[in-house]
Amino acid sequence: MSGLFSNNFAKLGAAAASREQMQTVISSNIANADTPNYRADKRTFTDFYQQRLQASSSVSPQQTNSKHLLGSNEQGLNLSGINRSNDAQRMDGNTVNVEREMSTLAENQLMYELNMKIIQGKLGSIANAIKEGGR
Amino acid sequence: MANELFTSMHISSSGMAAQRARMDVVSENIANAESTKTKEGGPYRRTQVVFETVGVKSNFNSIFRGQLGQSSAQTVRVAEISKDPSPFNQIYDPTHPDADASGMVNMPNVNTIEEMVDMNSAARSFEANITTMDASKRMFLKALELLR
Repeated sequence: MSGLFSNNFAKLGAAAASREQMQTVISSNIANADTPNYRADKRTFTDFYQQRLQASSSVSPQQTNSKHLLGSNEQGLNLSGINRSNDAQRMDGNTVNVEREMSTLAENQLMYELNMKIIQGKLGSIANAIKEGGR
Repeated sequence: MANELFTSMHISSSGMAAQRARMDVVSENIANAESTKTKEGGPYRRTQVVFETVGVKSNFNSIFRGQLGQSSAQTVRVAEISKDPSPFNQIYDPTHPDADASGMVNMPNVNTIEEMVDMNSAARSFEANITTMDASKRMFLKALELLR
């Protein structure tokens, strides 16, 4: 990606998408905070982000027929069952630490807002360049 | 995975529904803490909810990934409402119509303190789910602000 939108722009987009995926992981853990034998999903933002950067640099197979399977490399084998937390803290086998989940939630939300602010700033500067050029 | 934020809100709502079901059961237990007659005969037996995880989507891709042992987001639902098999509380009250020959009455195996603890726990979990949903909603609104 070159020209108007720099490479950094694609990274910001990948970061925003990874934050959204992270939000799903957190809400999944909080919703299951009382489910017996639920193993907390301990994937982090970094996992999703690196995966996205790898996926954008590799070529994905094309779907020429609607019945073709989605050859998505966005969820590779590196995110396997080892990402389930195993340190049981409670008698019902549940490994969710609600306090930690809530703080991760707050962090995720703030970082997402920061991300959006930066994107907004970049878009603003592009719009500025377009407007000033017209004068 | 059309939109991760909508998925996240869907998961939070499933958590809220599950906690509300738990609250229903707690209030049923507290209301019937003194009931000595039921339709099935005998005193009321304490009930409790059992939660289970459910995969968030049921298309081929998610099931395939689940079989490969890859972790994906999980919603929660009430698996069953089970009866507590523990013995009934026995009190001595020969004037009670349900008393046996020696004057002992079987009271429900409900411990009000336990129910109160359970109720508080359900309320807190419900609030945690609301906070998550609120966060997802705010993130979505922030993304919408880019269009301005």
